[in-house]
Amino acid sequence: MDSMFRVVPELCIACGKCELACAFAHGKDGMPGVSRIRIYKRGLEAGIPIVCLQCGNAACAAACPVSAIKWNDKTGALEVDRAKCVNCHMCVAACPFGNMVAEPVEPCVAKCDLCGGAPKCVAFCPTGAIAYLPAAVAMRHPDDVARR
Amino acid sequence: MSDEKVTVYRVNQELCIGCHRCFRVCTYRAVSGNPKEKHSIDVAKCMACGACLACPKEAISTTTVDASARTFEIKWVGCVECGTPVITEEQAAWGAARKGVNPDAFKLCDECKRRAMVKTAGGLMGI
Repeated sequence: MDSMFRVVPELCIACGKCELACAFAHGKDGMPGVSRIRIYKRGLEAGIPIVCLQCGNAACAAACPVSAIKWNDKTGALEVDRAKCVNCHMCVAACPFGNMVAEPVEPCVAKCDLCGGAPKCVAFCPTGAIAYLPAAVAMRHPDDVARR
Repeated sequence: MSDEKVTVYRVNQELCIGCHRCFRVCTYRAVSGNPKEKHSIDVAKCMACGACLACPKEAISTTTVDASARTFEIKWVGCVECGTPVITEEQAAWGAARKGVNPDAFKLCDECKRRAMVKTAGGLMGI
């Protein structure tokens, strides 16, 4: 895992495209799924995209009674094993950031899986408020980023 | 009395070796039994989630019982901010005993957790 999300709240216009992109990327049979990324609205046309941090010592994985949340070495994402998940929602309660999502339709919880290494939310963000960059680039001070 | 049937899990007493694994994974605290003894599942508490299928001896299987046997009353632990149900009391007790889990996280629903995170992180960034 050498890339991470960089969120610049000042650039977010709360348009909701990342949520839509996520929902359709994770849907099936042409139906959208539940969005793993969510915008916290802090006023008119201003928001903060909140996305899973892929914690190294993750509370969701520790809380899972059946060890269904596992690290994917290839993408660096913590992924839910849909076959193992028993939908007890312990992970939803245990996540300190509110990034585990309860699926309303399927008998399985949902979380950000980084879309296999190329997150769709990033591709659809019109302002660059959310980017998926190598860790060294993403860690630069946000002021340098806003000035460009 | 209705004839409605519900699915629950049960332990095959002949196969159970008392390894205690089902007890440890049951977040609803429906499994009872001590290590090295035969375990059993309380029909009144079983929510049929299937976590206990972790059984190494495959002693756990489903069965159907009359819906009236399932008498559990879900006691929700609600979000302290908005009151939305987060988990059941049994799950909160189970999670508090789990290593690597902070039981403070059970106090808020995910909506309020995100708001709390924005308040903390946003305050640091000055927005």
